[in-house]
Amino acid sequence: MKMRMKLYFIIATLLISTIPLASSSSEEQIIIDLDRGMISTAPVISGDIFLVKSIGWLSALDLESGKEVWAVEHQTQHFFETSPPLVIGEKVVTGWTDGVISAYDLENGSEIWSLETEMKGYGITGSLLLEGDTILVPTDHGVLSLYHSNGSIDWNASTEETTFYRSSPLRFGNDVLLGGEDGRVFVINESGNNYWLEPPSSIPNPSIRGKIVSIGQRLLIPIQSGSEGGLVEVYENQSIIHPISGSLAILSERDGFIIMASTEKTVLFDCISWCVEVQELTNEPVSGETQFLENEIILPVNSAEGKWLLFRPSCQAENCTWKLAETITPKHPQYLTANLVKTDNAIIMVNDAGWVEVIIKHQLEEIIEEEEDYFFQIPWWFLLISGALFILLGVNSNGSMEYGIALGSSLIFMALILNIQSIDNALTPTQKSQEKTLDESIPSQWMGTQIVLFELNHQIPDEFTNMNTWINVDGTILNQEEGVGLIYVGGMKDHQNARLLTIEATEIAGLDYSEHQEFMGYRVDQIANAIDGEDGLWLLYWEDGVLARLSVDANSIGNDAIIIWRFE
Amino acid sequence: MNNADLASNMLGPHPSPVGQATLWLIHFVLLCTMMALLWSSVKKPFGRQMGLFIAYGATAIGGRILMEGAPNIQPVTILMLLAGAHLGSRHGVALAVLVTLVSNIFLGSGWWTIWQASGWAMVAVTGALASNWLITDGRLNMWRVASLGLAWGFLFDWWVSMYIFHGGADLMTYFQYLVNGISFDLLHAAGNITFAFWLVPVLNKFPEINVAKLSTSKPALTTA
Repeated sequence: MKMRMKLYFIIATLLISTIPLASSSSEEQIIIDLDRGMISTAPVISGDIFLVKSIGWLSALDLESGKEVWAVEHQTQHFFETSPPLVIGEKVVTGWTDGVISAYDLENGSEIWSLETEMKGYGITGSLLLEGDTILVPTDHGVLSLYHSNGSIDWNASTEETTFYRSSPLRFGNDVLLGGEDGRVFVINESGNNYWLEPPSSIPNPSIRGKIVSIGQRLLIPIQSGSEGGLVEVYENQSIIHPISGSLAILSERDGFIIMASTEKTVLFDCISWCVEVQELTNEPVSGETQFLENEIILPVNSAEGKWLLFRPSCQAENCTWKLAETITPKHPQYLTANLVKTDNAIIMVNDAGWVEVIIKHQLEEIIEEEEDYFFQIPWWFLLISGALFILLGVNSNGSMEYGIALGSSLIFMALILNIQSIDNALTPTQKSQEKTLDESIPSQWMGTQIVLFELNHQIPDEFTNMNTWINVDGTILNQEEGVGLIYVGGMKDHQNARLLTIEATEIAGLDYSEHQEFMGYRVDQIANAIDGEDGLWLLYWEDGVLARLSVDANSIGNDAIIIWRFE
Repeated sequence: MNNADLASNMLGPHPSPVGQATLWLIHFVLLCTMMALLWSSVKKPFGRQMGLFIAYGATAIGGRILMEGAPNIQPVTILMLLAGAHLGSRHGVALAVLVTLVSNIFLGSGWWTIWQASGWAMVAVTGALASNWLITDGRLNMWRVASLGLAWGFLFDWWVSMYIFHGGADLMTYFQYLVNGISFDLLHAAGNITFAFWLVPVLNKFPEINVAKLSTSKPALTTA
C-alpha cells in the first residue's frame, strides 16, 4: 500500500512538473476588423491601450490582446475624421468634423467635457496643439484656445475670409498661423486681429491643406495646385517655390530636413539654410500623414494595395542617403492615408477599410535568449530525479513495481530527448556557430513568422544577382536593393520542420530544389544553382542561429523560426 | 571558424543516388537472403517459432514506422537482439532483413538498406551467440539485455554510417561524421535501454519462450 501511495505521489508530481512544457510563445499578430468606417489618422498609444479614431467613433483597444477597452460614438455628417486624438495626462481630447471638441477619460471613455464650435465647412480636421494648460484647436475658420482641464475657452479668433481644412495651427511668436483653403496663410492672434500672406501669384488655384512649418524665421508652406504647386519657402519678403505636383500630403520636419510628399513624388529637402532638394524618395502616391523619425521615414502609399514605405539612412563614409528598407502591407489591403505607429515592440496599422492590425514585435535577441533559457524552463532535472527514483523502486521489486525501472528509464530518456540540442552543443561545442542576428534586415511585418534566408554564394538565378531581395509569402517582392544576392523569403507559417519551410520558400522565390531521403531523414541536394558537394561547397543550414547538422526534417521548428541556407 | 572548417564539420558527403535497377537488385538480394535463411530452418511454419517470428517482425516494422519522427529512436535494435536470443541466428538474420526491407518501403530505400539490414543482422547474431548469457533459468536478464542494447546503440550507428563511403568519403571524414552524430548515437543507445526495460519484464511473463537458441538448424541435443 505504501509503495502504491509513493507511486501515485510521484506520478502526480511528475504531471504537475510538466505543466511548464505546455506553455507556448505569445501571439505575435492581432488582426481586428474594427468595421467602424474609414480610419484616416494614425492610432495613438497611451500605456497599455491604443486609440483609433474612425468615422463617428473613438475606440480604445488593448495593446496586447486587441480587445476593445471602451469606445465612444460621435456620429457626424461627414465620411472622414482626420483630426488626431491628443492624449493629455489621464484624458484624450479630440475634435470632430461637426465642430465638436470633446475630452474623454482614458480609463473608461466617459466624457469629461465637450464643446460645440461654430462650423462653416468641415469642422475640426487638423491637429490640436498643446500649449501648457491650453490647447489650440483649429476650427474650420479660425482658432480656439481652450483650457484642457475643463474645456473652457481661453480665447477665440476667426476669419471670414476663408475656411481651413486639415490645417493645423503653427505657433509663430505671439501669432498662430493657419493655411487656408484659398492658399493664403492666415496670421491670427488672441486679440482677434488677423492678416494674411498671399500665395505666389504664379500658383493658380492655390490651396493649403496641411500644416505649415517654421525653421527659424523661415516659413515652409505646402501649397497645392494641380501641377503648379509645391513647397513654398518664405523668409521676410522673399519666397522660393520648390515645385511638387499632385495632391500634397502633410509635411514632416526633423532637424531642418523636410519631407514633402504628394500623389506624384516624395522629396526630401535639406532646409537648414535655404531648402535644397536632397533626394527623391519615391514616385508612389503618398498622401495623408507622413512621419519623419530619427532614423526612419514612413510614408503611407495611398493606392489600392495600401502600404507603408519605410526608409532608413544608408551611409558610406560621411555620405548618407535614405534607402527603402521595408514595405509594410496590412493583411487586408485598402487605400490608406493614416500613418502607422511603431514602438519598440509593436507596430499598429490602420487603413481606409477600418482594418486594424497589430504586430507584436519580438526582437531576435529576445527570441534567442528565450531559446537559451528554454533549457532551464524544462524540468529536466525533475524528470531525471523522478526517473532515478522509479528505477530505485523497481530494483529487486516484484509485481507492478517491476516496471518501475522501465518507467524510470523512460523519464530519464524523456529528459534526454527534450534536451538533445543542449546535449549536442555540450558534446560538440566547437562545431556550433552562433549566427549573427538578422534583426536589422528582417521586415517588421515578418516578425513572428517563419523566414528563410538563402546565402548561396552567387549560385542564384540572374534576377537575384547583385541584389538583396525580400520576398513575401504571397510572392510579392517587398524590397530589392544592391547587395550580394541574399534572398529573404518570409511571412510563412505553420511549417513543422526546416524541410517543409525550405520547400515553400524555394517555391515562392522560384528557386530549384531537390532532395533525397536517407536513414536519418531528408538531405537537400540542390537549392537554386547551388549543388551540394559541388566544388567542395556544401549546403549548410542554421536553425535560429545554430548550425544544424541533422537531416533537414529532423527537428521541429517554431512559428518564428529563421532558417539560413548557406553554400560554403 | 572558417568555411573549410564548416564544410568539414557537416554530416559528410552524400552517397550518390541509387538507380532504380540497383535498388531493385539490392532488394532482390536481401529478399533472397531472408527467404533462404528463413525457409531453410523452418520445420513447423505455423508453430511457436513462427509465431514469435511474426510477433517480432510486426512489432519491429510497426515500431520503426511509428517512431519515424523521433530522432534515431526505434525499437528494432533491441527487438533484433531479443529475436536472436529467442529464435537463433538464422531466423534472427532473416528477421533483420525482412524488417529493414519492409520498413524501408515506407521510410525510403537506398544503399543504406544494405548497411541497416546487415547491422541489425549482426545484432541478431549477437543475441543468438549471447543467448545463454542473456537467458538464465528461463528468464531474460534485463540488465544484460540493456547493456548489449547500449553497446549496439553506438555500434549499429557507426556500422550504418559506413554507407557514406559510397559517396567517396575518406576515413577522416568518416570519423568526423561519427563525432557529429554522437548525440544521436546516445539517443539510440538510451532508447534501446528503455525498450529493454519495458520488454524484458513482459517477455519474462512467458518462461516457455525464454529458451536460449544458438542456432535453429541444430536443435539442442537431449540426453537420455
